Amino acid sequence: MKIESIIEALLFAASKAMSAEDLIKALEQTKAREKGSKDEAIPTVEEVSAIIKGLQEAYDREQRSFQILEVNHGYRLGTRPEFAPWVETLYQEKPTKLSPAALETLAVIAYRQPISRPEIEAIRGVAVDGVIQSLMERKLIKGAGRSNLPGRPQLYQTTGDFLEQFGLSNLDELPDAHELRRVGSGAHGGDLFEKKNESDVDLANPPLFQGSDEADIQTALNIEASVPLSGANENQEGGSDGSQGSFSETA
Amino acid sequence: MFLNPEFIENPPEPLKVDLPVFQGPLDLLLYLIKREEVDIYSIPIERITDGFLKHLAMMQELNLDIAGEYVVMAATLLYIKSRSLLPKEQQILIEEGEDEDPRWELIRQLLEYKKFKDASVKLGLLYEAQSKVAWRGDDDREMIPKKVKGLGPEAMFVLLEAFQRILSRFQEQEARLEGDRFTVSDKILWIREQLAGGRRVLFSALFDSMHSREEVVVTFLAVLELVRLKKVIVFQETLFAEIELEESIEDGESIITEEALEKESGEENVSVNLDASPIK
Repeated sequence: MKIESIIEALLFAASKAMSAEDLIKALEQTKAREKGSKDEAIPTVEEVSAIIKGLQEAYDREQRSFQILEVNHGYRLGTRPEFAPWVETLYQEKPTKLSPAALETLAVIAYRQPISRPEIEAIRGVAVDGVIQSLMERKLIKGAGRSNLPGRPQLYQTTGDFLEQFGLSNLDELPDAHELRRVGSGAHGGDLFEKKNESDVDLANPPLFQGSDEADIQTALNIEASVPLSGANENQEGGSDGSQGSFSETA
Repeated sequence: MFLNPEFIENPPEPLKVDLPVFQGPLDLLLYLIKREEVDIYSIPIERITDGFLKHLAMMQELNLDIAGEYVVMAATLLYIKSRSLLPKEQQILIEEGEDEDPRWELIRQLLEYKKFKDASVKLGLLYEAQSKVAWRGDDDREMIPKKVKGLGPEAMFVLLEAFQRILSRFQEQEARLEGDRFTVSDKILWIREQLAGGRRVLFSALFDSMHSREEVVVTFLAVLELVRLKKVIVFQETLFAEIELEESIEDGESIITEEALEKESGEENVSVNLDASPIK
């Protein structure tokens, strides 16, 4: 059995994004069960990435109606966007739109997670309880423990569903992530989110924007003219899912 | 009623108000700054404050709910404005070292907000693009139930089968009062009563109150007649689900028969619509 085909079968049968680790695990488990029958080497994360790249290239060549997308720290099969007019007729509801209020709130949470409601309201200048509620219902955000700040407010973070619905592999792929993401400011106390947070917040990297408001504005002022701030691009997650391949087809 | 005939013929134009929807006071401020074509770092506080208050008044006139945040912002703007009117040496220093322009805090807030507003637009585009992709194995999205509509060969078969099942319930019950007369037209009226107001009735439940084969048969004939007259839709939510009856919403034209669907889809060249069409 060709390893390409096995991985393709796994992606085809999965109902969520499969990380390179997930795929390797499936290969290892089968190998352990069927001893001796096949002596194929288990591929590394990089090899899985290359295999998937090869599959995608084959799909492109054959002009298949589906593709492999890099989302939510893994790979998932999906139809190509140009087939949406037909595919949508199969479904009960058209994909729902997100209101500007929902998108703004989601943006604040996505870039500054984990974040409390008062902090979101300070940035947006409006009350956000209703919006938060509906974002929770749509599983785009979830609770992220409580802050250590006075009153221990509830914190929020984005979900894997968020990454999938926005076609993102990880949070570093957010538009202008290097500028807008607050990296591990520790405002809420580190003990709350470090483990469960899908490595979304990089505590290891020093915060890029901290200090006085003045400095903040100076930074904002310089953004257009300046070259990307040094260190911003090193902010990638440590290749934990090996999904840094460059073939993402996200439209 | 006294209505000016001229008024009826030429009704006045409905009041048109071109008021963008703002996501809060900061959004409104950004809009005003953009409209005034001024630099965000040197906000002409008088002009902007006036514009802000005018918009608040307009919103009030339109009876829009003005959230408290707008009022707070108006107060802040007025404070900054009043402070700027004072000669420099009389301006109160709130905190030591805070001798800067009081607009500073507002500008900081505006810039921060603008960053996220711009990012949210980009996120919206990502979302829109991604919504055109249907994931493999997406259990969260519900498929459109296949309604067996009209009386195509398939629907007829399903309906007859259901009727057979019901009829078999009455096999042994031979005791029957002579003179019990049932007519199709009576049953038609009765069925329409059952379905009045858009109620859905299970096909099997329709016969629950009945005691004789004769009544069941007459009622079934009434159902067929109603379907033929396009007053009632017979459908299944899903394959093998209970058959249900529902009043046809638009008399006469509401039932889409298989032939009509075929014709329609032929014209539009969209064959995928055949089974999934939610037309009632």
